[in-house]
Amino acid sequence: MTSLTADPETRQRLPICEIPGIADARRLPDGDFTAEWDSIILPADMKHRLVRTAVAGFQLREKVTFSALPLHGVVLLVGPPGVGKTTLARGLADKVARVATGRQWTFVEIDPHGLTGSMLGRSQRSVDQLFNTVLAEQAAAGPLIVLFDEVETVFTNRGALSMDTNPIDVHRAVDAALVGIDRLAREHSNVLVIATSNFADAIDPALASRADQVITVPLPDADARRQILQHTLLAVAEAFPGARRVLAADVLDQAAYVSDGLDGRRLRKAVAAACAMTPGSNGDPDQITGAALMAALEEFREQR
Amino acid sequence: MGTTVQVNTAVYATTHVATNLLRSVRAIIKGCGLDTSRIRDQWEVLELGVSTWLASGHLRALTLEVFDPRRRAGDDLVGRFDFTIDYGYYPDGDGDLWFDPDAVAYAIRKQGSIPSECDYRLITDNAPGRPAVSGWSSTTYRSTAGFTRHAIGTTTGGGALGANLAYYTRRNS
Amino acid sequence: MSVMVRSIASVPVRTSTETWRAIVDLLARAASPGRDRLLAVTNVAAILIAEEYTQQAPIVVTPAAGARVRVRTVHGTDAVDAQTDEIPLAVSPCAGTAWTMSLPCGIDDIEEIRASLSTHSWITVRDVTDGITADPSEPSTKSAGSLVINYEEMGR
Repeated sequence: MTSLTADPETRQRLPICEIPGIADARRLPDGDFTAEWDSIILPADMKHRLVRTAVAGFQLREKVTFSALPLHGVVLLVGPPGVGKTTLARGLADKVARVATGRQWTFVEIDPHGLTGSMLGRSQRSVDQLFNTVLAEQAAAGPLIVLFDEVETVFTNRGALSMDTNPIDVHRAVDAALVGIDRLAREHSNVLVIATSNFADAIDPALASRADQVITVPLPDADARRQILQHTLLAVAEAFPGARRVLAADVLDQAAYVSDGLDGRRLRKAVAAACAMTPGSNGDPDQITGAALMAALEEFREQR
Repeated sequence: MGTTVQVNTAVYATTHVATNLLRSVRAIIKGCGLDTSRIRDQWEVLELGVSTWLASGHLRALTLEVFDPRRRAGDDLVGRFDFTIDYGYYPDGDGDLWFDPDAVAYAIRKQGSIPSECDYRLITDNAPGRPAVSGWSSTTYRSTAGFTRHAIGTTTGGGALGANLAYYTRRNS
Repeated sequence: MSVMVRSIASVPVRTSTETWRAIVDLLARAASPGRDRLLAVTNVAAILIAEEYTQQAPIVVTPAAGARVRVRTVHGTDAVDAQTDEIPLAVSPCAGTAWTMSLPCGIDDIEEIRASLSTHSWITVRDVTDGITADPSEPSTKSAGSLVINYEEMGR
């Protein structure tokens, strides 16, 4: 579990942060998450459709029985590392909380590595406890959004495992998680579970079939790459005005063109790499040049 | 791993013995027909003192003194119950945690009847250097001249600890 | 969800007083009038815990609104394992002063304990052998939403 610093002035940390398996718990909306929503660049309508899916889901689940319309309130985001799945998930959580108003939203991020304990038998117990006690009680207290990052850690594709090499505990843990999701969905219409995965094939099909929507978050196209680079450079330029020279239209166009295949995270890191590229710059971000950026992007492309 | 278990057992033993000592004392107070308000109102302070000094190894004995306020000072002791701590009762330090209410019931029966007007107080005897616990103040025991001490045996224990119970009766009664 | 259930590790992991403090932290974590009410009965509650009545039968909290809470104490060797299940509640049912609590007590002590709590009208003492009234069956919280969709925000 990562340790978190909380600003007691602005953020009331929930006591469940101390539970193994919980990486973060906070109230929404949250300023950090709002910024993340704005920073995610995706093909047209992809972000907005996610919001519509959530909103439609809440309204349908409130009024239509599960047996007629089995909505689990689960959205699955898959895609290569670095495309912004986790950022998108957090941003979506915040956006949903700002759109669906009237009650206080709670956000819980699950730490899947905290659930899959090394002690035999502990995994299933942790998963049971998480869904049936922690999440169920939170959901009863108010609307809830759960982020389940790297979901394949728990929802391992059991078909791809051999019974010989993996303990029964893993299978029980997956079963417990699936039952947990079903129960949460049936009993609470105001829960949204956002799951992310780097490996679509590694996810148990039973989870994938429960997803109300599966979104493949793509690598950015040229337009998206241009926006991502611009977003990062604008932020850098606020502190280091010299970076403005790299914001020239033709420089950005070129940078977007040469960076085909890079994910959003690599693109942003390339900007930092460009600040250190030229020996004469001495690591001063104010001296970043377009040429340095091109060189950094080329280098990152070769490393893929 | 073995060391950790040992340490945990020792901590658990002192907590177990501390709480059960107080249960024993309360049972005696009830069994003798005395008013339980005093021990009830002091429970938190008593438990903190006893558990702290058991853990630090300073507690030598926990005593329940019963006295008759209608008699003159110096001649008012009616009965007394001592719980003496033996820190090496289980030499290997691995005694299971246990509590025997029958030993306490026996002491109550043997003590005989006590007038209901009697009052009582709890006293701890500690080795020097005990950690401070608020709510406790120094005092002296009433003299047991003219009393006979009867040892009953251990009433609770665990880990390395054992608590021995003894009661006092007036010789001419 | 109509009831929340917890077990709290007691003797020998905690003294009876420490056990009550852990229960108070569960029910009213932050400073509040409700927490003060719980702390005010520490001595009595600790005795009930020491006598293991709270292991035989649960402490039952009925808040003004929301799910009831049942808390049991776990004693002896089981107490060591019980600590891993001590998960905070999603709410603080005793933060305010509109809650009531039922404490279990053995027949030998019930008169004394009831008398000692007579000025705490929000707490009742019941015989440990009494069954507790069945938890109210609430409809599922499908109606928990009175979510209002902000279409302007959605369009942004």
